[in-house]
This record gives sequence, structure tokens and C-alpha cells, in this order.
Amino acid sequence: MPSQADLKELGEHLHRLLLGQASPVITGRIAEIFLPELLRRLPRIFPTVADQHLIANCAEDALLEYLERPEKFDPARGSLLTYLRLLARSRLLNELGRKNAAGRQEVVAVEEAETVYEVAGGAEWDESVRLSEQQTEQRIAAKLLPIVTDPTDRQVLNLMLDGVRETGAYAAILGITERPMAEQQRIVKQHKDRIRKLVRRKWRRGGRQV
Amino acid sequence: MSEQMTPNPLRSLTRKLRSDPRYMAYVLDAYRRQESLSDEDLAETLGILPELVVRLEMCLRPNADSPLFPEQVSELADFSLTDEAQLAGILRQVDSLEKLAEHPGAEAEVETRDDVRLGLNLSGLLAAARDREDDAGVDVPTDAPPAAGGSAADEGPAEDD
Repeated sequence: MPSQADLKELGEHLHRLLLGQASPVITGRIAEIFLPELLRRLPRIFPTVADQHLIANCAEDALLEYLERPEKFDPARGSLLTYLRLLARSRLLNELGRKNAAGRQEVVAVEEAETVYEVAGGAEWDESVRLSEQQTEQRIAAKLLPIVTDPTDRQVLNLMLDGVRETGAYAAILGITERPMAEQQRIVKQHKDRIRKLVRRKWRRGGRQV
Repeated sequence: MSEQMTPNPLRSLTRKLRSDPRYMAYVLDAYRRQESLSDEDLAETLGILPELVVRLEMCLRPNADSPLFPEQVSELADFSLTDEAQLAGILRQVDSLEKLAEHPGAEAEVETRDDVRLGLNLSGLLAAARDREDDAGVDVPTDAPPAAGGSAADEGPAEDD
């Protein structure tokens, strides 16, 4: 389990990777971690808003806005989650304001006196990020663990699902770090291919019933 | 924790991404329409959990013309447990159809670019794209599209069981 310090840096780390266009999976990792958290927090900020679809829509649009223009986020001013929350909050207030002007809804927003995206309760949201990530992982792991039963395969699988690319990380699990790099890469690829094949075959043959 | 209790909050987001060509959601949706597959059929074709389809949809689309294409496809395949060759085949198929749609000769079959994005009336283009990939010797072995179901390779000896 990563430490609080690790979690605090997660948003910045993913943000840097996104800016650097280093990987095609970064957008997926960011969405998996931060969207569920936004969806949990926004209803607490707007307890009188019954339209959950509207809340979800604003959270999604906030995330898309960030992914579209990540350079607007300044990590020096606060956390990524707080930034996303403010984007979502702004969108939601605009939507609710429009409805309110039409006499359709009374808007009550709780908390949020922040005018810039300062970190409020860093440890609290770090924990929330961790839980969001865990929930997504658990959702997938719950279905994969009955399929991948070998402990070593499970460790390799976890690295794959975490988006880890370094051969050394896999080589350490497989106990082949002393071998030449080219051989490590070949063996690691073989293991990955075999695990993918195993999951696909068992899933197709009825793993979905697990 | 069951899926029924906590529906995947990312599904709605991926539906929005289906209109954005920069994302895999767009690619998979285009492929799904080209092959007349339902969402469930697509997961079945890819041979992965529906949750991993959603995960794949949220990723960025590799550029088939980039030297980084093989590495990026490999990364996507690891992240979603997708078959690498099948994924490359899907990307190239969707790419080919887009390029064909931009070709003047394809105008008779495709009225607008939007038609391509929506996967409408594409049977002719689809066949042409497949022919072109065959001619180009694209490395799309076992599970390559257009096979909508499992391939023979998947039903082969279970050396990893």
C-alpha cells in the first residue's frame, strides 16, 4: 500500500506524464482514480441537488476539460483533485444557476470558500484517492483473481494493470534480474502474453460466470 | 463488492469519448459499428472483462503512422489485457476506413466523414480496407478483425492452463 506521501504525489506524477504525452494509458489511469472521487464529493457539496445525472455530467465534463487542457492545472497551487473539484463545482453552479433563474430549483452549496484551488485537508483527499483507485482495482481484481491463481502470475498481472512498463519490475518478480537485458525482455514478454492469453481463454470459456 | 451494487462510473464518460477521435473509445465504437457488434459482443470479441473494455476506451489512441505505434499498442494491451495483434488490427482497420473516406474514390460510398465516424454504410469500405491490409502484409495474426468471435488460435492447446 503506498504511503500518504506517495498518494499526495500521485496526481502530480500522472499530470506530468499527461503533459509529456508519455503514455496512451495515462488518461485511463487519471479517470479511474479521480472521477469516482469527484462523483462522491459533489453530492456532499450540493446536498439539495437531487439530479444525480446532472452532477455526474458536470464531474465528467470537468475531467474532460482537464484532459483537454492539462496545462491549465498548476500543481504549485494545489492538488489535482481539488482542481477537478473546482472545475466540476463551477460547471454545476452554472447549470444550477440557469435552472434557478428559471425558477426550477433552489441551490444550496455547502462549504467551499476557496477561491483558488488550495489543498483543503490533504490527508483526507489523499485517502479518498487511494480508496477510489482501490475500488477500481478491486472491481477488476475480483473477476480476475479466480482466473489467475498462480501467485507469481498475479504479481505480474498487477503490474500490467498498474501500467508498469519497466522490464526490471517484472524481472524482479520472475527472478531473472541476473540475466542479460535482452533475455529479460523476452521472458517478460512471454509471461505477459501467456497471462493475457490465459485470461482471455478462461473469460471466454465461462469466466464471466465467476 | 458486486458490480450491481456499484455500477462503473466510468461508462458514462466513455460514451462521451466515443465522439473524440483521439481516444480509444472512438476507435472501439467505430469498430463495433463496422462489425455490427453490441457492447457485449465487443467485450466478447476482445475476450476481456467489460471493465477492461471501459478501461481501454479511456486511453488515448496510438498513431498508426508513428514509430511508437508498436510500443503504445503493447502498452494498451498490457493495461487492458487485450491481445496485442488484435488491437493493432482494430486500430489499423479503423484508420484505413478513415483514410479511405478521405480518398476521392470513396466519395460514392461515403457521403460525409460523419458517416464514417458513425460507421454507416461501410461494408464496401470495410472490404476494401481488409484487402488493403492483406496486400500490405499487416501483421494481424490470431484474433485480428474482422473475426467477431473467437479465433481458432484461441481454442488451441491450453499450454498455460
